[in-house]
Amino acid sequence: MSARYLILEDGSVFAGEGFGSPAVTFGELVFNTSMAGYQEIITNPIYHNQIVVFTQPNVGNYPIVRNIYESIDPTIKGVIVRDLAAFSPLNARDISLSQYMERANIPGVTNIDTRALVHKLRAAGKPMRGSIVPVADDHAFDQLHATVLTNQQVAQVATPKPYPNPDVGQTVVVVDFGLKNGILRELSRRRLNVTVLPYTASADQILRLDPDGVVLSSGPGDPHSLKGSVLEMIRKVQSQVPLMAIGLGHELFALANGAQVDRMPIENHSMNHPIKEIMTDQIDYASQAQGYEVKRDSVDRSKLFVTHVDLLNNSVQGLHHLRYPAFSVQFFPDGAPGPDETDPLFDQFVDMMNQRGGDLNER
Amino acid sequence: MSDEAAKTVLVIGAGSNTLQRGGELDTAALSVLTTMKQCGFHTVLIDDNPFALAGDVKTAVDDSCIMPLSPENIEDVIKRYQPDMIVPTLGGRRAFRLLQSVSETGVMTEHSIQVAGVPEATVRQINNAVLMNQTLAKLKVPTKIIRTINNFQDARDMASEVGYPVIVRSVYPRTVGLRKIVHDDNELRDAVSRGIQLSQSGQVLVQQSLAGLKEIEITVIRDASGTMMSLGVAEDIDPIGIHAGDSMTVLPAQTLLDRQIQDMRNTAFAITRKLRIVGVNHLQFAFDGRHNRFYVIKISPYFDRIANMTEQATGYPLARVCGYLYAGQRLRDIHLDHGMIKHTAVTEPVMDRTAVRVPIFPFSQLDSGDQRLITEKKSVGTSLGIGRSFIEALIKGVEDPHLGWHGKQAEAIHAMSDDQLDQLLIHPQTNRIFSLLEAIRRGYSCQELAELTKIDAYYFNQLRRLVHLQKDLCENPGSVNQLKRAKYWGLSDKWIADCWQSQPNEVAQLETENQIARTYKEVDPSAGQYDQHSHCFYATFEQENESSPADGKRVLVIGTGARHLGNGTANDYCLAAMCIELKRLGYLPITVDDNPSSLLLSEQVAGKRYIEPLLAESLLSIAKLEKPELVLLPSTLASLQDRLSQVIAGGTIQIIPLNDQVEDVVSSEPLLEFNALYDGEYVYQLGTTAELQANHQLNYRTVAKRYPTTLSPDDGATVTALGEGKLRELDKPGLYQVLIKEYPDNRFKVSLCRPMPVVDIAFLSKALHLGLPAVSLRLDLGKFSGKLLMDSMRQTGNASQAAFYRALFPFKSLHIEEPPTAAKVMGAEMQFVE
Repeated sequence: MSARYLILEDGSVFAGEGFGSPAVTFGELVFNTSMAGYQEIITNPIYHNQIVVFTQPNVGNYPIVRNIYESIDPTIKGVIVRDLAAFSPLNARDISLSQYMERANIPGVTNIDTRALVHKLRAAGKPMRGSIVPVADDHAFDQLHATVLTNQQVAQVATPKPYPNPDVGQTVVVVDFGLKNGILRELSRRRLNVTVLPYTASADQILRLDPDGVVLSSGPGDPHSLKGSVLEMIRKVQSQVPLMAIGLGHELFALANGAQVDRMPIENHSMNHPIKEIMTDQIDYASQAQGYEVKRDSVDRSKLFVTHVDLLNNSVQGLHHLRYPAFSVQFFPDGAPGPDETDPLFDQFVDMMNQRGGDLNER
Repeated sequence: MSDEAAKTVLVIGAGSNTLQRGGELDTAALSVLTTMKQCGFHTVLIDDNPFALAGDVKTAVDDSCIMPLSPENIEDVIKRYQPDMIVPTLGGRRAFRLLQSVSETGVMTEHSIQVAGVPEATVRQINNAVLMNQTLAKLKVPTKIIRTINNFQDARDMASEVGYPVIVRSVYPRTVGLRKIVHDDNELRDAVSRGIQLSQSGQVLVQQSLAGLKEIEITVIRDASGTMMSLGVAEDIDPIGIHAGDSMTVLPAQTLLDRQIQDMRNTAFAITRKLRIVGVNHLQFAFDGRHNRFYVIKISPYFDRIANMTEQATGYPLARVCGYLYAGQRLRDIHLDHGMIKHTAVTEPVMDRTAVRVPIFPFSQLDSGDQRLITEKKSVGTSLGIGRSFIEALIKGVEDPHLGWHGKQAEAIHAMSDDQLDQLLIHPQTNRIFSLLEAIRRGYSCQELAELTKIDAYYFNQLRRLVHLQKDLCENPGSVNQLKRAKYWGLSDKWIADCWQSQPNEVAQLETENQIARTYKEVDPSAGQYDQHSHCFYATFEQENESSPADGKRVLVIGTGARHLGNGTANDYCLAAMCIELKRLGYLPITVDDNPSSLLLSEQVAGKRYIEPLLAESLLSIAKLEKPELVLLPSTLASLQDRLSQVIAGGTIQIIPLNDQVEDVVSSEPLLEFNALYDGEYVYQLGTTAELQANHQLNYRTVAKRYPTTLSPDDGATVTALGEGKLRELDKPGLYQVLIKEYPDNRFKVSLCRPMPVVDIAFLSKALHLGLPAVSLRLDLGKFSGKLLMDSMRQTGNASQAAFYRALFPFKSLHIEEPPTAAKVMGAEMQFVE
């Protein structure tokens, strides 16, 4: 391994050893406190334009596993760890995390004081950009300062064309804002007949497929960077068919219904926060990865009500429409990685479609 | 609590230390009881362990009942104190059995006493495997398959279903039954026919063998409202077939996929919910990586070594939280304060560190014993290494004073032939890490070793890095870069010096010259996400240092490491009691230990703690940072005195006599112990104890005794005069013990004068109701008052009671026979007799 550096826009330099791809990349630094599931995290499309710092010090402990990818072409900009595990293949097919990242063009830096780095990110209180470079000189900093990160993140990760994932159950349209495989996995487990549409799909295009329900997927970046037509689509679809929205989808659902969504001073990427479901007073744990939050006091009570809150930072974690069978959650009920406790939300969605189906038959 | 009568809680203590449990239950009890008392409970503890501290701490326990842990005694205590609640989770599995016996008398219903932590129905299930298996079957939880079979065909069908090996046992054996592990159809045919012959009912039990699978241990906490969290998923490095307590354990699990963790977590939650547990639940799983399936093998809804390790490694104050839960709070309502943010109690702890728990075996202290690792536990102690990589944590864990990388065990294995090493890999023995490392050194491949040992290849990959590090060091003597790298991965100066054929102090010198120094990281349950403090630190060699000298009058208290034979946990008792006295006197005790069960690492004992190996370099670094005005240094580490005094510039070092290799005095004549405190001028008598005669050997040893003696006034005066005379010859104040032999015709003769052994300090503190460690500390600090001592002795004296002490040994559990000597004491029990 050769020397590599993580440089930050505040001028700090973290020296370590490189692994994965030797590419020079730029991205926003976020830290993730999950203790397992690094492969799922690295392949989640929400990390487009971001460099992820793992607080769990040992990463790369086992070979890449073929059935736990969250996307085929990961778009994460870099991986920062304290200790990349030594690895030797037991089978000819085994590839290490480092080899995988090399193929996927993702640079990594190990032997970093990640705890010091987390303290720095926390103290900054605002998103910080950084770059993974072979030499931490003025030129590298100039480039970092000159780089403008795209806000067309969804466009870069979402499918440009529709594709089906057929099964025998009810018909569901998934609108892809940066879909992670976990959502499809949960829908498949319920035998749902899925069609994935690009995020640019209009309400008419969606409804023309006559779905029993619509899922708005999670995805990367700022919900405000998407066009107003997306919000129009949501407003129309929610009035017609049951709707479930996750992550970025939740933020868009909130915007479409008049709530305000703000940048969080420090992003939260974890799976250990207590999330309270207000109706039942029950506390569950779920995978979270959010840089934006729905402002609780901006929620228009004539349209939405809050279903879930995060007890640690008081952020809105779930919304339900007052008039329509439409709900959203900020966290990832599909886990991958993360707890399964909120997985029944997919059943709730299926129940909504069942009830709705009854109505249609009567009609 | 103001307008209703205070509730009373009775805690069933752990009793004497055994191979199964050391000080971890006392440490947990101290936290739980302190918390419940703060919540307004009147606290009562029943225990007979002279080395336990909780009962002596007034801010934890209102009424301490020192008596044998029997159902009858518990019933008496219930009648006397009328508790509203009983806590059975601090006394191991025995407390569950005791509670059931007590419950069956009806006294619990009669006094409407609630059981904290577990419903009574669950207590019965924990005590009865058949009931538990029924419950697990209802939950469709995978468990080991056991079938009763009466012919070979059925046995073969089962074997092909679960795979070989299987275990065959006869049902209702006529005389001696059969128990055989079989590996193929032929062996099975023989075993089944022999087993059937030996069985009165003509049947055999065929049981799936889980040997060789990975053992996973999950700690769950649940509150009365049903909120549940996983506090940690630990992984035992050794496979099933070796007792989990004898395996090295890593937290968090290193080789599991998230999906596998979530599946076991779901099962752990389902069981915990079904058993309606409030508080801690520790579940053990056998994980079969090849078929991606698992089996539940053990459920322990009480405090134990894993609960303790999880608390120390994560920084989540598990015992304190359980205290609040027993007091009726929900996880979300608990405010931990002391530097923790709101809602930490209801947030699953995450780690930005790795912890390795290392078992410490007693065989270097024994003359005999089978050192093979099997399903029976053999280790007595535990040390914990915390680091920022697995390697660093492993290296630190093994550096306990009772093990060490450069000890005899490591050397012996280094000298073995390849054949011997092969045998050791296949038939593992204690301190297995040395043979694994040696195999890597000799070029075994990771894959080969994984097959031989059933240990995950991950660990061999990590060990190989260690071997490479060492090789690079050896090839580059004096290289600053290699030195930096070696320290970064946790190697000690001694290790580096050995590679360089130099001396540790020369290595240390090179470090100082090149500013290679330890930095400290806080054990924080949010992995840095929130600004919060556990006040517990560990060292590494990274950029950022988080520990600065604590405010206040700092006293550094250095512990004695893993529990081992000689004093049980009495060392720990004395040092922790001194810490509590230090706090009372306005000092801030700062503790260092590597023993996760140690009282010294309890937040109730010390405001600031370091989990670090007790190596000179580690201790000097902490002393240099904290600049304490006083250091309490155990006599076992007295060689550090000069170097410590150099780094603390102006502070005082007080050596605490904690000799664990107590002279073994054997006498055919009756033996008396004259105990006293000498303040340099006066001798204060603390009473005379009499050794009890060992029945089978007809001699007297210092391992069973009675306080006070039954001497006639004349003899008493003679003994006192002898003892006092001996003490006046001393020049150093302290607690002393004079051994006096009684010869026929009432002739008494002094045989030995020594600092009072710690086991006696602990026993006499309870017998006299007088905290001797505190008294001795005040003496050391120049704050001793003879008048105060006399006053408190006058108040607490109870002439009508005699206290009995009996030391316990691990011989029976280890299937060996050795004479009971003072140097091999594992634990002790005591009781008062009117």
